[in-house]
Amino acid sequence: MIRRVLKEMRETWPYWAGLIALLLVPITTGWISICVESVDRRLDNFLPPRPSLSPKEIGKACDDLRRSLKTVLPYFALIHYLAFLLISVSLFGAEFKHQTMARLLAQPVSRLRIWFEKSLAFLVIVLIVLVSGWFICGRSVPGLARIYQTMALKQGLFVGPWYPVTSWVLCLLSVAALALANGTLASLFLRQTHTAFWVALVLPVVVFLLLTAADTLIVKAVFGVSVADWFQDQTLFGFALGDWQPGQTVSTYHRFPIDLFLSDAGAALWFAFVYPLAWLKFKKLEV
Amino acid sequence: MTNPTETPNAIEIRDLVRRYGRTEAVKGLSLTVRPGRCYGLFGRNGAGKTTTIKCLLGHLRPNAGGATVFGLNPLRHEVAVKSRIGYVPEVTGFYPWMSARNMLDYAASFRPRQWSRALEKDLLERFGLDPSKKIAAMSKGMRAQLSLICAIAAEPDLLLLDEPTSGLDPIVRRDFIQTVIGAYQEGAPERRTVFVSTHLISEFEGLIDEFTIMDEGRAVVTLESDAARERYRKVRMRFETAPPAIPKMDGVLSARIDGRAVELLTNSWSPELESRLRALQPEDFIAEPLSLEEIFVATGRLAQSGERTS
Repeated sequence: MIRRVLKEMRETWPYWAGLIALLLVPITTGWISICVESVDRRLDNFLPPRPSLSPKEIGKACDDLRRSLKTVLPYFALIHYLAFLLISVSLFGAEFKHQTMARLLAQPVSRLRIWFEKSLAFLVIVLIVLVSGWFICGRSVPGLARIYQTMALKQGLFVGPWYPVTSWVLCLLSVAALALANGTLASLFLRQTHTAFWVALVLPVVVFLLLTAADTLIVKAVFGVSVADWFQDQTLFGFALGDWQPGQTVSTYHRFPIDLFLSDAGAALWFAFVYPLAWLKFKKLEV
Repeated sequence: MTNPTETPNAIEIRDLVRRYGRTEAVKGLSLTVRPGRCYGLFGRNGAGKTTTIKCLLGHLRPNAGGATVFGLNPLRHEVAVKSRIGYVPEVTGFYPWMSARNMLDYAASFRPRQWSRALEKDLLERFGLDPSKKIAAMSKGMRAQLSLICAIAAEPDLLLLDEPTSGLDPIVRRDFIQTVIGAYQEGAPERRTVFVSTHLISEFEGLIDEFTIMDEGRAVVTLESDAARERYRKVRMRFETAPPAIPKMDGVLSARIDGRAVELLTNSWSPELESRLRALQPEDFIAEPLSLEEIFVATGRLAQSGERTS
């Protein structure tokens, strides 16, 4: 199984390696550094850290960071979605492209096993990207680390210094899940990669715009949450990282991230609908 | 069907029907392949050969009828059936970034307990394939050879070959078939079955034990090769003067007159027919068995004219 998972990773390596390279762009070009310089300057005033004495200043620093990062975060969301989509389209699309689907399906493993192994390979790739992303962006920006160290935050998965990490991971996982579902379904229906990529990219946007135009309560209730919230995901980095509000005291920073859960619930709903549909398509696939 | 106490047939197809939209690709095909045989499925392009093989693999669902492999339904017993099959597809698609070694290791990963490294090494040497060579840099012939190694090194009980030699040059073709398929069956002749679909029949002459000729989704003829050679004859007669009118005789598929020479094709060779033809008093009389390819061509003509032979 490991060999086959590695094969999938090798097949898609230009996409995920390219994504990791693109994560470096904001760091190497100074895009993020410029953003955090102001934070650094503000934090310099509080060394050694005495957060309880100056929550307002820290809050302002966070506000600066949030405003600055607002330009970077859509970039992150977009490159992740594009790369994950290319990977998911390639998982099955490449088998059609190389004309290897018949050979693959003739192997003595069940289709469920093939499906599981390809999904596992995708998950491994997502984890590699997440960890790389955190090391490249999270740890490479001293300002971020200093904010977390400086603020005497409550500890926990959804509060305190782990909140940005958790939200980053949840947000990217939902982006990855959507890309996986859309890309897989499109490539299995279209039996190739290129058109499948464009369809999987454009179709959710079209659905979103149509639903927005329809603007009826039922449509929004049934579909809107899932599709629209995917777009909301893009701004979640901003909410997550800059959730600190001026005037709040450090000790009260424990807001439960309900917006994050709502958004991920929408993504989960979409995934729960589309991914099984893709599986059914693969299960009945005739080659 | 098969008696449960007996060894099941390698392949059993009963009244198989498969449609693509309104087009019926296979129209009620039935055939039986016993274990240890080399069975040929012959037919022109579009006759329904590949569709039949895909039904055996469970890649296509029959619209009616069905097929079993070693007594098992390929759709219900997916893994059990495929673990006994080695498949060489018509299109030798590979991952171009892999080397031959990568591809063999990848194929072996699906059958770790079955895979024979010794056989793999032997076949690589026979073909003179360099395992480190990238598939993208391989010729079509090399890819076909690699495809065959991938199928045979797992030592399957049934080898399904779908047009394995199409697109190969004649020298590679003959080498390919005689060397590998012969060697594969030699390993365990009573157990190892080959089911080959092709329209390049001459390459398989001598290897095929039994065959079915398909035309437009139907079986036109099913025969043992030896029986076919007995029944199908080409008779050449030369007369001193202009040949007499050839009387209409059962089993004579065609008669061609060329000057003083007459050439007849028959699918019902018998001593009676021989006596009747000799009664025409030719000065030369030669009756020789047809090759499988000639039988295929003759049967194809018959099928086109609407006649059916059983």
